[in-house]
Amino acid sequence: MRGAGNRYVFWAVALAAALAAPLALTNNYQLGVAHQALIFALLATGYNLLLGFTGLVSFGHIALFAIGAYASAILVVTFGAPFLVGVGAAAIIAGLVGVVIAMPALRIKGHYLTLLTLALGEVIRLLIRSMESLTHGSQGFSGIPRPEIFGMSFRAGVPLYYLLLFALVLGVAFVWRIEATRYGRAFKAVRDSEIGAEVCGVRTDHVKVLAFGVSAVFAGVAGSLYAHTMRFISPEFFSLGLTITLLAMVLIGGRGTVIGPIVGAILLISLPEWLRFVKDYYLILFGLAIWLCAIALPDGLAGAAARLLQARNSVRGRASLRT
Amino acid sequence: MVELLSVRDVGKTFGGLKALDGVSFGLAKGEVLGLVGPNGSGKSTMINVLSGVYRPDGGDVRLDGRSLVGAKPSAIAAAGLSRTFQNLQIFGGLSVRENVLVGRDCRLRSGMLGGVFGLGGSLREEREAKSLAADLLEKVGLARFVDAPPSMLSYGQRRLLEVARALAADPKVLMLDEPCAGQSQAEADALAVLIRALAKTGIAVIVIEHNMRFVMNLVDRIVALNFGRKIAEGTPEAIRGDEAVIEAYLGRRGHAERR
Repeated sequence: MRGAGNRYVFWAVALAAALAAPLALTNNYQLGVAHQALIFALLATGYNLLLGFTGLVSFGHIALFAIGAYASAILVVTFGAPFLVGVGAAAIIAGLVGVVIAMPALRIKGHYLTLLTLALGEVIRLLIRSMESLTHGSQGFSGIPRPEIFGMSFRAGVPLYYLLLFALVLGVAFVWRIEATRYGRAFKAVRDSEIGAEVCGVRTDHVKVLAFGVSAVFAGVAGSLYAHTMRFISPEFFSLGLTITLLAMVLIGGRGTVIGPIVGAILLISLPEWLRFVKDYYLILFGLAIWLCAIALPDGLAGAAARLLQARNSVRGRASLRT
Repeated sequence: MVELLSVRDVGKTFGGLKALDGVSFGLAKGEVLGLVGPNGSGKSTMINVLSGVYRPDGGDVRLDGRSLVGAKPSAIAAAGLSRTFQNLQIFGGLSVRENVLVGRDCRLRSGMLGGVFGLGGSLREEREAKSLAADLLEKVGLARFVDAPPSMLSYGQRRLLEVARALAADPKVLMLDEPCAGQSQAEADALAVLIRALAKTGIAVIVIEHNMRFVMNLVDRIVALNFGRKIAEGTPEAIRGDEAVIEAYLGRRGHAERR
């Protein structure tokens, strides 16, 4: 199977590039941008399980990211827990809240679900802001330490980069594997025809809760990593704007593909840095980009690339038929 | 007759419309039953009630003595009742093989983490399911499309894909909702051969079909519906001459002329 072979080569090259990237990122500022790109790639990869694989449009995902960030920060700073405990707790707590958010998703569909998750997300954000004794409210939570695992410090930019890359690789491998199991198929079956999936014997309720739960675990881990990378978090950061950015990452990159959210995250995190010279007009460009994507690339960049490859192969196929 | 599926006095109302009104029939192992009637007579509603898409207002449906009323469609599929759709419900984002594998899902046991890490026999289960899917696709004549997207298939071939997907659950009862729509005569003939072969293995088949030649040559017994009521039941020969059925299809004028 040449197609599968090509895919392995592609992923190997991408991983090699990611491993070598710190050589090219010469200053701390650029490294910081790379940190964020990795964290958001992980977050978008999880969100894609929900949006791209299962077809559930949740606008409450950033709240789960926030829960992960705060859970980890509170445990590590306030209660002195080790970093790994913080990440683990962030994953579990976000996962549980994700399952709770999934409950209404079993009853309502489409736009109503989107609006409800939007409201739930806002409620969670306001709760975080008002629980001042734990979260320090709107002034933000500062002094979060960089990760330390079994005495190994990830305080410096480059080691932290590799830790974040490691987390992303684990997350991507998980999604890549899940795609080949009955759960990956069930997610996509629910997306393509919910009634068809249910009648075929797929417990669609179960599948939806699972999709919410797993993507929430991704969000929790990403949130924890975000808190310990930025070292400061505040409720304002986890706003609706960030939800839209996350949505755009998956849509522009290509929903339902493994690579799409990664491409989208890197693009949307690094583009503002490249376009710094246009200042606030960046938002206009950003809007135009989303608009263009919706028209010209309904399957995102990954979908467009796949179509290009397919067209090239079929041209080749026809050529070989002729000879 | 030992009944595998028994439908007793099933009713279903939409607003003021009685889509099904006290319909009863039974089905034995290995039997092929034709469900016929004019448009709007309640055939598809019956399939939707049997598969759990609609909950009946009254009556009972039993498979092997166990009531299916109120069960979710996925539980009904797991209990052994599979179906295809008149308006196709193919999973466009999955390959042809994966579509069939979704039909197998209710027989698979692997958990999510087991599947991801390849533990607890999940790899073997997946391998077996894949080879079963390939066998079923071979059976319906779609073997060369195994790894293709369903968009490569013709309309008639997609109907066959739904048949393969329904069979993947090892059903006791298979319900086909207009399986011949969009198929050529050759495809329909091949499908009839397949249905007879399935019945021989003990699967009971319910077929809704407008192609009367197909139904008459294929089925053991016919249940005719009109306005949600059963108007006749019997062998194809008996139904062909049944006054009520002729009237339902052709209207009353036949009587007037004869008089």
